[in-house]
Amino acid sequence: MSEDAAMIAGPPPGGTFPARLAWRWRHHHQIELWIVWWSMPVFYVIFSITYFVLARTMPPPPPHWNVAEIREWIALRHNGIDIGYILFYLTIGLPGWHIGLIATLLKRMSASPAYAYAYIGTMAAGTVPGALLNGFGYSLLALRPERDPAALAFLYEFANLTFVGTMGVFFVASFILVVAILLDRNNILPRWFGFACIWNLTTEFTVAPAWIFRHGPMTWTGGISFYWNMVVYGTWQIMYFVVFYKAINKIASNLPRPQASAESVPLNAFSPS
Amino acid sequence: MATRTHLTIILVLLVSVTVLSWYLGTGGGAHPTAPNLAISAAVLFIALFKVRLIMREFMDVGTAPAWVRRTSSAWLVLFFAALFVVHFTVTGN
Amino acid sequence: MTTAVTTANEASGVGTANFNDGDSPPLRAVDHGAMWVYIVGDLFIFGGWFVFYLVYRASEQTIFAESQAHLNQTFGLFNTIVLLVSSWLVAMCVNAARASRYNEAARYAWLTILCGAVFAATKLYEWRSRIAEGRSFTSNDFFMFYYFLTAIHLFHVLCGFIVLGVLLRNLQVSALRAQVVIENCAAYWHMVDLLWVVIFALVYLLR
Repeated sequence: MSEDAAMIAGPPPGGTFPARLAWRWRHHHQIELWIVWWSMPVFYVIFSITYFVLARTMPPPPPHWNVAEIREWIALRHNGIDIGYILFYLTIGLPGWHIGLIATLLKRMSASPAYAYAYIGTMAAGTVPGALLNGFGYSLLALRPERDPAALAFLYEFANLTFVGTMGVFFVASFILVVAILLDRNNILPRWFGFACIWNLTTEFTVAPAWIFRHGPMTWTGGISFYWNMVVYGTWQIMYFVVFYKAINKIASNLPRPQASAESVPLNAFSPS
Repeated sequence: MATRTHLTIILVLLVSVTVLSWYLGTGGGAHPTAPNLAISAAVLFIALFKVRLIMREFMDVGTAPAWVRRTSSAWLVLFFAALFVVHFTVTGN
Repeated sequence: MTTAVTTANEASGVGTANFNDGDSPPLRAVDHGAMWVYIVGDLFIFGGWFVFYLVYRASEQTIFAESQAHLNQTFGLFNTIVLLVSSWLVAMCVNAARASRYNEAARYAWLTILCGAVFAATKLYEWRSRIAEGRSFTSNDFFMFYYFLTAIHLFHVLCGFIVLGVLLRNLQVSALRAQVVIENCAAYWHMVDLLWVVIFALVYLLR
């Protein structure tokens, strides 16, 4: 059948990105792999839209503001915060999907599968302070702006500090990647990326003084602790996407294909042996 | 060529300019606090010289891949240019 | 053992030149890749912090100048010389390893670690002295930068101990030996020295 022939033939060589996408949608026998992959860019786009476009809570406002200034800032963003964070809460589970995919990659490494589970654990733990609580803080602020000033100030600091200052879990997650990649003998991910993850470790350190300072470059919106950190983190995150895409593409391209239409694809074809 | 003698000469050179830099910057250990354009320039130039020496002689940047040579040279140029610009214009020295 | 390493060296492009007087040919280009990615990135990251330091220094010149006078520049000088010597030691180590003199290389590696330990101990003593005088992380912007830069650098030194440990293991256990790992570990330590050279100039000496 032409369907099976196309599947067996593989993606058109030298094709454009849309052509490859179209082939995968129509013919890849493990399309679910690519569906999981797409949860990553989709999530990050929604994340960016929520924080930068709708709620506009990024870049964060300064720590030294008084209650009146906070109220005014919230009032300007009230609807954006409501809609943005509702969208965010509905999709916050998406990282679980692609972290699972990354964990299967880590399991293929020569380092113990414990690293894969550790990565899942730390990233899951990181979602709570790094995303959820930040959303809670801002959503609560927007819900009832006439709140008691002390409570308002508390929620404001809570929302900002939970996002910026709780990077310890992501520190450990990056460290897991560093060790797993540098120990790996199966060349699943390039060695230079293992070293590049160390940059992310450094950013987690430099953000810690946000708990101490309310003025200067080391506050949660400071030049060093936020802006320069974002440059480093952003560069690393882009490398992360590219490196994982290439690794998964390499594995997906080499998956065993059925030789004839009668033969079914073995269960768990993607699982590492 | 990285001979042992060569490496030792480099070390002696590095330590010498370090001591010179320390002497200039601290006024011979006197800890003066007054800003001084000439001394600041000297300290920064000596730092630049030391960094380049370490890169070329100890890290073998000269025989490294082209991209390493280019990015490390780019960093050297950009970074020290930024340092000079910031220190000598923004301070108003 | 030497033959196996020589073969591996030939495979990686290092020639088997006459090593009689300590000469060693440089390693072929492609071997350094991964660690250099890290080093260049780290140089840029630190570079950003140094620029921030200078910008803040520019806006608070008096405070920075007065606070700087309270630093112990002699300790700073001593620390710089210790790290320069450690860099020389690890370069000698690599030199010996290229000539397959692995026992000698291991001795140099141990001495490098010793220098690193001296640096770390001095740094901690210095901090203790400053804190005892009442000058801590939150005293003023100068000390914020001082502690931040030296602490992040010290963190790199501590990681350097792990890296030097990998280097030592590489030198001592012939089955694990790989010249590229030896060179990469040494390059990391040179980066640590290089960063300190800049910190010394900017934080301790600049006027």
